[in-house]
Amino acid sequence: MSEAADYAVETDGLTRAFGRFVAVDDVTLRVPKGQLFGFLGLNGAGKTTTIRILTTLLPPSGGTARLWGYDVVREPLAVRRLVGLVSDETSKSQSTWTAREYLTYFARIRHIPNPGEVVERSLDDVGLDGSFRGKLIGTYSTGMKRRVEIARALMGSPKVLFLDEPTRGLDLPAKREMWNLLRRLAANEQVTTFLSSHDTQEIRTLCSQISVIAKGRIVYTGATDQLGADLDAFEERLVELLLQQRSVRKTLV
Amino acid sequence: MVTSFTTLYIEELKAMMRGRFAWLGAAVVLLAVGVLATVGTQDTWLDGYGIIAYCVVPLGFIPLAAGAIASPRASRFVESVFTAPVERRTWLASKILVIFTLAAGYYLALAPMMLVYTHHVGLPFLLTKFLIWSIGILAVSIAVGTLVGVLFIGRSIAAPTATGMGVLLAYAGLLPLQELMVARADGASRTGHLTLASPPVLLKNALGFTLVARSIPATTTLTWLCLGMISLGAFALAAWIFLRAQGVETWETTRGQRWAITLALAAIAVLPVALADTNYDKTAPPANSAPAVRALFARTGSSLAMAPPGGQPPARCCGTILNRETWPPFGTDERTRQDLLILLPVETTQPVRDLRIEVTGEGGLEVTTDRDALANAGEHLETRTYPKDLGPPAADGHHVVTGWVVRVPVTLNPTRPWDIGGDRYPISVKATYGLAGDTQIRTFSARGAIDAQVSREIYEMGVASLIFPLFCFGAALARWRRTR
Repeated sequence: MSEAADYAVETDGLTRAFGRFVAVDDVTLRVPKGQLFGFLGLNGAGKTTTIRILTTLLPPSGGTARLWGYDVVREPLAVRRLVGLVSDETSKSQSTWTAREYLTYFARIRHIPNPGEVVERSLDDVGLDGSFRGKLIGTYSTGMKRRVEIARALMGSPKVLFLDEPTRGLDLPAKREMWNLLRRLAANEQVTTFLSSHDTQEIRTLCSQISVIAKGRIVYTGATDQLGADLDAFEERLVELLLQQRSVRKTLV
Repeated sequence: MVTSFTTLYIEELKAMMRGRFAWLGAAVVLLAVGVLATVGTQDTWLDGYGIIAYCVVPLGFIPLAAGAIASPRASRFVESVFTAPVERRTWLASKILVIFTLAAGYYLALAPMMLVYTHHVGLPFLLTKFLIWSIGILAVSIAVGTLVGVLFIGRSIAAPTATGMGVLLAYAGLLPLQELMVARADGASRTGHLTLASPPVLLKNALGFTLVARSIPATTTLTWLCLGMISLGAFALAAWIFLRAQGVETWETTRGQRWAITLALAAIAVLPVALADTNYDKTAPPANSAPAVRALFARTGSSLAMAPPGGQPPARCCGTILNRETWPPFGTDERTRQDLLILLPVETTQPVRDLRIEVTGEGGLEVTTDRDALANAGEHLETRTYPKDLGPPAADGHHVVTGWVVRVPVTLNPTRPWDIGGDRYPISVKATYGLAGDTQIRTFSARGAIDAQVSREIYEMGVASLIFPLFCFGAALARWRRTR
């Protein structure tokens, strides 16, 4: 692991195009180690594409991205040893497995010793009730599925945890439980957390530093409270930034 | 540490069997194959069961492989896998090996039925070829299915699975078409060439056997080359596309790569059609040791019939298979008493004298006749009135209206069966007789066949065919109970 790296996540001019459509456009980010970092943007802004590049799932069309100093294109395996990814999509993927089976699969492919014990401990950490662990994931509530995903992403003690819309589809109590879980993990596990969301309240509640992305471009990077003292001011300023970017785009086109 | 191939293979194998209908699906398929194997004991086993179990079901590995490769991308499971330290080539190789393991499992599941069969009738030529054919079809199907699975990146496995099914149907459908074309000496026609797009056809030609046609290609070098090109080409193309032209869930092709993929796919489809051997000049070896049964399926009826001792001839008299309406057919290596009815082409208005009869079985059919009964047959003639113009033709050409029938008690013992069911043994009858007022001795010859099957085979096959389905049902039930 490259301890000498200054940042957990570092991108320079990161770009990704799908044909003529540029989903991520010249994105430069610096995420310090150990931070709970917010990545805010509307639907289709380029958040997921950025995360997919950073987690080696998608090659960039241009620019560079490094995690803990490792290049995501040249050293994908080194990067994969350091990351965990939770998205609302992955949680639906293995509905015919039990939580135990699901986590044991990842414990084994990561060559974690005593996978049985580690799995139980991980499920304890995310608070999944013991009576559900041997049941099929397809029978779980959305919140329970998300807990299993977080437990899976934390397998192998990642240095950077990417959370892509982790509370989408959760009701308020489940959402607040999830927030508490994320705070606890950030505090206890010292994991750099890259939280992507379009939920302004979530980002404001959890993250002290954020970047805002709109139409593939970063329109703001800095402290969360600099955007507004309360949620209303925060959202007003945010809409202003997003509209600005839209008009810049139109002018360019 | 990078995930090792062995670990990934074991985990992927376990993962495969966690599918909603994995064990249940395997149980249903094996049960269906088993039922077919059991029912097939009443017929020429390899013609029905053999073609389905050793060819059609193995072709099912095309959609299965396509679905297995496409499914983790459709469900986005790959996003979890490839954010762990897993190399994509290791994952693809392990996934393919998992499908090969399932194929080996299927092949193994056929073994009990095959052993029951060979225990009774040995290992005929066709089964030897089927055993190799099946392995080849499984391998090619996995290769083609893997390629289909790799080609589709989407949120559903419907497209790759449906494409796999389409390829299956095309490959399976070309098989009887090729047999038909070759049987009509049109194996090298344009349509005959087209049938060579099907790997089962190529493999059949390369192995030098047919299902019904009488000829096989005299050379097989190009056929083998085409087969190698399809199977290795499909694997190589699938691996290249997966590793070089695609990301985890996206196409990342250059224009050159797109052309290369298109041309490679076209080559896999077209080259066998253009290149594989079509010189069907060599006589096909017989499928087994069944005797040639000449003229048995001629349109005209037989002049022979068979009935239980003292019984009436069958209602639909008289087919060439003498016991067609008897159930169950005669058992092989068992002695069965019957009355053989010989329908003489003589009107009852003409008395018959000096009747001598000789009955002979062929191909292992032992026929025993009562000497006294034969000697006195002429004294116990029966009569039969035929429907209009359906009586046997008399010497002067007219159809007999009411003719003489000779009843000969016979004991039949069909031996040396070459299949467990549908064994047809020829039986020949030669009779000489004179007519009252005529010094000339007339000769009458007739041929028919009897249908026989190995007795108790149905029970043994039934038990053998249940072993693996029950295991799979058990596994499905255990998993359901454990996870509900």
